[in-house]
Amino acid sequence: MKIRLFCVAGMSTSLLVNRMREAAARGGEDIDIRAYAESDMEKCLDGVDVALLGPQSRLALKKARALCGPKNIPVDVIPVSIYSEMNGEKALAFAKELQDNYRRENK
Amino acid sequence: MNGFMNKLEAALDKYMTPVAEVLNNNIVISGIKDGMMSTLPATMIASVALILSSFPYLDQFCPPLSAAFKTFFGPINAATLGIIALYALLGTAYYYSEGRQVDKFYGITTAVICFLLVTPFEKATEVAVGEEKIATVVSGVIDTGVLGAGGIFPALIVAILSISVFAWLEHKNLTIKLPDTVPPNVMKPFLAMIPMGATVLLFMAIRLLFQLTPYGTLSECISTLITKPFLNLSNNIWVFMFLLFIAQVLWFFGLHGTNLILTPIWQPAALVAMAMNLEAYNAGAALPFLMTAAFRVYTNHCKLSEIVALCVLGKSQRAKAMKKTILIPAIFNIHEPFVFGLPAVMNPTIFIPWILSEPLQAGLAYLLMKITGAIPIYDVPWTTPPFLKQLIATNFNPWAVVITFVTFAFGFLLWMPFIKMLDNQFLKEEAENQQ
Repeated sequence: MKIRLFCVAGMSTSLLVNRMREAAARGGEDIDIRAYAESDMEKCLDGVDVALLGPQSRLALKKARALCGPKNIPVDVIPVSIYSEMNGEKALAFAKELQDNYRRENK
Repeated sequence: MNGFMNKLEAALDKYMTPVAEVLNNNIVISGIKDGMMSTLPATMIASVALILSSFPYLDQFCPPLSAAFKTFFGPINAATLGIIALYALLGTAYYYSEGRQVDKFYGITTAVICFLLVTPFEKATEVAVGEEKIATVVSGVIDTGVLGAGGIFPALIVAILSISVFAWLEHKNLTIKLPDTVPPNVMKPFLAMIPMGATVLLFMAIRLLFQLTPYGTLSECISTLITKPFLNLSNNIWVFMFLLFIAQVLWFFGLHGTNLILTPIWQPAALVAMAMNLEAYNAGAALPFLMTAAFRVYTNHCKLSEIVALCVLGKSQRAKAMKKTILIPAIFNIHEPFVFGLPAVMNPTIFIPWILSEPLQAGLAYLLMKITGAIPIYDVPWTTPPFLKQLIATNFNPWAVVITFVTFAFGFLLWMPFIKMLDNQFLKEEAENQQ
């Protein structure tokens, strides 16, 4: 599984990425998680399963949907409640749920 | 207070979010914004070369090394900052072509042709013949003055105009039709021919038209009518403080206000001003601007005040737990863990210092900068920790440390009562939870 997080510079979401990697490692899962700048999104979507936006970048959601839609990548904004706690486990669960819902809707 | 908050949020949704969305999604604005940002590597290389070629205090205790540094690193400036308008042109053409969905390479080609078309290929100069100096015009040259910082605005405008025309014609399908059997790679140059040719003709007409005006060239006209007023705006502390205030209001609702407001509105002009300052600095002349893109080194650590205040004054468990996650990122100017973790977002207790402290800190920094003359010349990567950042930016002016500390302390004092109030709320909640 490949998850990508995006915010303005890819800096603050990279903090959450570390927590998500720890959570994935604890669960014994092999998940490729990285953070990038919102402006590099187009180049960073190859083979990605889920794309997430930091809440401070939520105005970019429209643009993100336009980029992710044709590639069949579900994308959404990370809820503030998860982001504020920098909770890796919940963020990971949120990403998985997003993917599951997307698959169910597009069957 | 809650009613007020709801009203504020409703007003934000109604008036500010659409503006922010336009600023963020408009292809002309993002073309210029991204185009100007793409000049940063060239400016950074020029800055490093400039720092090395005029290394602080080196000329006093090791003159030969200082001279060697000057000859070695000097020419880098001419190839980077000296033709900065060319980089702005290429960057803007690239990103704007992407936005308009035309072939990027042909977009860039069109923009370069059109820019050179409205640029004079001759330079008036003086030639010494014996004792006498004779005014003459050298032809077959491009004056690098046209490609320097002063040429950035003409470059941006030409890039946007020429590619707009090019894209419009191309999307109208005004192209040469070839049989389907022609391979695509053969066809591609032909497809671009008519839109590009028509755009070039239009700019040829613009060139001739401007020769009839007192300005002589499009560049001259743009620099008089557009560059100067824009630079005066970016050089105005009140404008900066107002934009910072709006940015903080957006941050209060959890939006990246700095990036939504300051970067598109203020940054492009401020980068031009910075390039002009660097040019003047390199030539040993007085700096034409006080405030440039480099001024942000005095403001982007502002939130450290309240973060340190919470870490030092916080007695509640919550404040103590937060210390671990907010302090280290904040040293590198990453404040989101604090903004969302406190949370500062939608927190009425700290609304007043949240929207007032940063603009006031900026004003104070400006005042002190004006008095001491510690003007930031270089833009330093924004993640560089405070003190080091301001020192590099001002070419090691010790006053920069004082200014940074004073603005930090000012913010700390302003925030103190509010942080205490918030900490007391946390303590009360913790006591209630224990019962």
